[in-house]
Amino acid sequence: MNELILKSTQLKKRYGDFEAVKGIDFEIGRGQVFSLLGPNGAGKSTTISMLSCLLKPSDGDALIDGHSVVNNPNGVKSVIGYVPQDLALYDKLTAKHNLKFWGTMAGMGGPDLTKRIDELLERVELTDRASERVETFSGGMKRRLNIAVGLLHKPKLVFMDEPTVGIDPQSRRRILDMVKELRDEGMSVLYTTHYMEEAEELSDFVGIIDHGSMIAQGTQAELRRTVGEQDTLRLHFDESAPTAALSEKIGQLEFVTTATANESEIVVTVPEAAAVLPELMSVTAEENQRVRSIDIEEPNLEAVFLHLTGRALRE
Amino acid sequence: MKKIIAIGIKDLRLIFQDRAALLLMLLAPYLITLGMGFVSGAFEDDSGSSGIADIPVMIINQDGGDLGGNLVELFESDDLAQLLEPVEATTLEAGKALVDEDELAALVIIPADFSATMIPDQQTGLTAEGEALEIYRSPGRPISASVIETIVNQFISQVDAGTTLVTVSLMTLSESGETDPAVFEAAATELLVAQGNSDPLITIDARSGSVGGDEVEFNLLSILAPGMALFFLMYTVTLGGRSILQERIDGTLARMQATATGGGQILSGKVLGIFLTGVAQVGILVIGSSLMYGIEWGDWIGVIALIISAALAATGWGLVVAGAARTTEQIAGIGTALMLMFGAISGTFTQIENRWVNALGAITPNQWALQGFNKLGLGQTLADVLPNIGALWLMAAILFAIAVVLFRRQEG
Ligand SMILES: Nc1ncnc2c1ncn2[C@@H]1O[C@H](COP(=O)(O)OP(=O)(O)OP(=O)(O)O)[C@@H](O)[C@H]1O
Ligand SMILES: [Mg+2]
Repeated sequence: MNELILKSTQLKKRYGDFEAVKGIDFEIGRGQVFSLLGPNGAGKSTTISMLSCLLKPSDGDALIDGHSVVNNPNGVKSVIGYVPQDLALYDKLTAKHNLKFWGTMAGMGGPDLTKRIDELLERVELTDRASERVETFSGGMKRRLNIAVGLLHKPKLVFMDEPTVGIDPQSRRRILDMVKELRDEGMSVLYTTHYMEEAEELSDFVGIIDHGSMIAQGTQAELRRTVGEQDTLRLHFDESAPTAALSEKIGQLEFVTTATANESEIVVTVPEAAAVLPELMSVTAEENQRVRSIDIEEPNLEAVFLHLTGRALRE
Repeated sequence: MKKIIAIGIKDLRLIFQDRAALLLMLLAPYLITLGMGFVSGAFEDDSGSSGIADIPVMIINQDGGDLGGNLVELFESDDLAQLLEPVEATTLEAGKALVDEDELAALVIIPADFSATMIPDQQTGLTAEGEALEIYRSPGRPISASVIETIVNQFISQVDAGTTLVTVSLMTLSESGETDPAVFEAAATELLVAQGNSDPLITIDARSGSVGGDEVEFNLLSILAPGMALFFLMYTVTLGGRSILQERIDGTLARMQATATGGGQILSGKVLGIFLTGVAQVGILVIGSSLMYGIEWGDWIGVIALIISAALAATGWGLVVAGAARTTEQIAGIGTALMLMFGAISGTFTQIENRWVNALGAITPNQWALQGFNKLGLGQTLADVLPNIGALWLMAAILFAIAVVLFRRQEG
């Protein structure tokens, strides 16, 4: 078994003379969350449509769990879950009827389906509204149901196309948490968004897409490095703490670039804060000093996008 | 197959959640039927019941052959005695005047060469050209006039069926080398007589006859109701056709395609949905009207077969409209136009006395089904409406084929 759930090679979509997706390459490992980050019209949905076999690529191909998007759409469809950007639900039917219908379309049935529906309703926190018509739901509730539909048949790879657009903070929280839960359970996720905070929170890997081209991709740390900046950590101690001595010790750590004491504060610059934080904490613990708080300032993906395109992610 | 059924049931469920649609599908036909019933005097018949009886009619028989006489006999037969009230024939002008004054529901004029035009020449096997039988109808009594027309039409179609049989038989005889005209004549007469005896019209009395002294039950609404049910069936199928495009717009079609469900399966599911909705609608109207107003629809097996066939043919129209249109507004527009046009040319509201219009009516599911329901209502059975059912299935097959071509073109 290949450890890649998805491998796209030179995937391309032309509409007449206009190239909406200009031959993109990327890979998703099993159990990973890959975020496709890009502004409006970048080609995110077009890419997802090709990967879901809803649009024929003009050129290139992608292998999903070993099945070619071009040559074996049915193989692909059986392993993917598709959560479209625009809600695709039947407003006049209840949540339960929607799930039942879409489950049947995914080839499920019987007690298996019933059990799965209850499970998912629980998961998207709609159990108590299950027998109400979707038209009575809030935007956030509809979004959550829209996601549940895509998860019915326990796909190996799920495509979520901007699943948090225009919803309340609680629903958004639930959705983001759910993505992480799914990843922890071994599902792979391709997540598109134009919110860099979401990409930062969720992703193992990020692809930045603009005007149909993948202009950068990698782990978040790798991307930030392209900007050439380092993370800044501000460690706050008690007034009495021997910060000068402590900063010297910290400065000798392998991953630390600089460490400067500044009254009760030590400012540390590192290539990647998350990687050194445990070590920093153990050093301070060895010295019997208590860190009261830590601020981490890192170059974010917004900065990366700005750096690469000279434009802000959202106008 | 499971998926096709799931789509069909889902669509049926959706329609029954749509209050506006239900109003038009189920309530409107009732209200209009009742309204028309009042307007045409269905409830103030002099028999005191809501049935119709003693329809005043005059027959002027100018036919030199036997057939005209047979038709007159039929009108004067005991079987139809309570339904009809034949008036002594006078002159054409006097008869028309009586119709114009609304004294008569209709005047039936049997032309001089009626027999000759109906029965093929024994030598050539051809029928003569000639004037058609004419029914001069009172606009004030559309229902009663329709009853007369139904009876005449049945008579003619029975003769038609009979002469076809005779012609075929004679041709067989001729092919076998027989040349003696006398043999032909004898055979033809024998066949026609045999045909005449095979009780072609006796079936009419099953409903209208006074069985056991009961009052004649010829409920006027039973002529109006099928027309209305069929009229609104056309509304329902275009609504169904619209849902195909609507699913494309809503993204639910794409979502179906993203599951491993083929385009053929999806389309079949949609077709099933439209068909089931049509059957449910007409079924509910039929059952409802028979429970509420005591309309007798006749032979149940025939009625069910006819409902299914009418829904199938109408579904074909719904699909063609959906395949031809680009937007849901277009479907709604074309659908409404078609529904009204079909209602008009199929004679749902008033009979249009124009040969071309009547011929055009054959493209409507309404006309074939209406005719079938009328036959059943008059006491005929499944066997008698088989031609209607056949026509509806043929129509469905042709329309489905056209729809498939149109949908292919839309995708390409
Ligand atoms: N059917 C089509 N015909 C022509 N151009 C299209 C078609 N569909 C999409 N496009 C164009 O392709 C480009 C990419 O569109 P796409 O929907 O993939 O963007 P997106 O990244 O999903 O944007 P958003 O964040 O707004 O959803 C856009 O410029 C769009 O106008
Ligand atoms: Mg999009």
